[in-house]
Amino acid sequence: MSPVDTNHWTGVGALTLLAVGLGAIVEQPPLLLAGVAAVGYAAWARTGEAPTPELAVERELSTTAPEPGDDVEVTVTVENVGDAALPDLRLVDGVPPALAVTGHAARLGTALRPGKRATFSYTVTAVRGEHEWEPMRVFARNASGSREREIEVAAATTLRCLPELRATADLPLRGLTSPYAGRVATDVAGEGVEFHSTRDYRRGDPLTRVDWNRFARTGALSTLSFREERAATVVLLVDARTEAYRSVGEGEPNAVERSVDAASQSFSALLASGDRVGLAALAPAELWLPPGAGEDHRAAARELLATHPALSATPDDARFFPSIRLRRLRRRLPTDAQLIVFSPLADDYVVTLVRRLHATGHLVTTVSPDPTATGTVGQRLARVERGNRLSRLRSSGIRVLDWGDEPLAVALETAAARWSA
Amino acid sequence: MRLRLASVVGVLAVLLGLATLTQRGLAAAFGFEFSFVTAIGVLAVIQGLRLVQERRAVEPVRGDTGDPELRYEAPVPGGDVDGELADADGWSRYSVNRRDRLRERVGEATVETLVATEGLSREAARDRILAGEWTDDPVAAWFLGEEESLPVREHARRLVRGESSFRLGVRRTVDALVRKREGGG
Repeated sequence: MSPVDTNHWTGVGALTLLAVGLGAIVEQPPLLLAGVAAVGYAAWARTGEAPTPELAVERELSTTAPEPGDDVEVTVTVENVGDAALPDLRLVDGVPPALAVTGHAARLGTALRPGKRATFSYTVTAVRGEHEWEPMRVFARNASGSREREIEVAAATTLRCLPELRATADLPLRGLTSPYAGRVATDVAGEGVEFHSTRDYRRGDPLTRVDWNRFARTGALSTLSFREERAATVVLLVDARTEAYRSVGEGEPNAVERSVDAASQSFSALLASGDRVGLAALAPAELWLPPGAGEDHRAAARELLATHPALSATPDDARFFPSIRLRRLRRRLPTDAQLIVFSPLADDYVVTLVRRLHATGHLVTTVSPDPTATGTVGQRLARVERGNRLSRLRSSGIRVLDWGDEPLAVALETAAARWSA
Repeated sequence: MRLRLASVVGVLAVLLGLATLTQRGLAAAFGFEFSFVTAIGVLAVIQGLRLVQERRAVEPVRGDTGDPELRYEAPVPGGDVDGELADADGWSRYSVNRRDRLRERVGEATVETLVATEGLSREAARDRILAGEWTDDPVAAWFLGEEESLPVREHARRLVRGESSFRLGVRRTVDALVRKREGGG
């Protein structure tokens, strides 16, 4: 960037003239002399242009693969690789927007002669995701500080924070299932735990399922049937449109971060209970992991949930059309798949989307982290409006889990009791 | 052009001054009487004051370093409403439009809340709102109703607080809605 005047020495010219003028009028040589000294400063302010810094920046992280919540120390070394001395240098590091600096400031004011280096360090708290550092911003002034130039110096640094997939609670699923054995009780009579019906004995029925009590009473052979338990195919859909980036207040995780956290827990819980799980997002960047099972699938999901740009902790302002994305998703969804949608329900559009998905025959459960507060009139109105959206979804036959600030497992337990009642 | 002339005069004066250092005789060209020196002094003071006046409005320029240490903060839902509410007073077309929009939004939220909590149809809910029968709060009933008027006592209170009647209406209606949702599930 071209240098600008800092106006640091504004008034030194006026001071000179006033001192000289008054000195002449009242015939005071010391005042006249002071004016002459001020002339020196005025001249100094006009000499020298702001230098163009040539810097090499290196960042070192105390660990490149931390767990969420870990403190990571960032050590930045800046070397003057140019020929010019840099008498006044202000360095402001480009900390990724999703990371909070918790120890020291990510900036330094210094002076560097050619070949010299300066080091500063600060601490950031790791959160889920792949975080790229932005270029460091450098403000360089000339010796008098009258001119300033701003440049940016890039140095690629990435912090990857991949949380383990942890399951904390079983997810109550709905009745639509795949042909594979699993844990969702169906209305199909067969093998299982819960009693379904009895029917006449047929050759080949296992002896363990013969109703011996009835045989003793009536002499007729009959076979007990149980509710067959089958595996479900589930696709987790995370709402990560800009409208979903809402939070209860400063310092609180935003709704998309909470949604991704809930999706991670659900993914793990479903996989552990033998269901086939897939992953999708409503965001400018496209994310689609077809339903599957197994360790490789789990590892792929862990990577995507942690680092895919669609699920980033900060919004992507690129334009996209959710309805087109939804059409593509519907084409990809297996017919027997049910959906779990993670969304704060912060606008009306997402309600329409969820209802449209439900109308196409996919059973939908919505897990909704609550981002509303009650401090101001607007915030209370937003809370009422969100409550109305929840009611609208429930009245369409869609299960909704309203997730406040309690742990997901607690919210799920409460909801499961209500859903099974 | 004026500046050019002033610069030429200035440079000539400096050169003359330097020349005087070696050719002392040149100094005799000026009479160093009191009046001459005072005139120069007054000229310098006037120029000085003019410069002071000129530079008074000049602000120091500093590159904006931003706050990279702070984390991205997502907005709290409802911030847009608070912003609109703060700007909704007055009789400009802009403010009137704003008020209409906000009133419509609060009205829609009320209809939906009645549908959700009392199982009414949308039409029935709208009728009750227009009749002012949906809430015990007279201010909320007045705000969305057709026939109600704002009670005199509330008028007086609002004047003491310096709150516009529109803002009072939105605040009390939203609070009534919150109570309704909490009470009615």
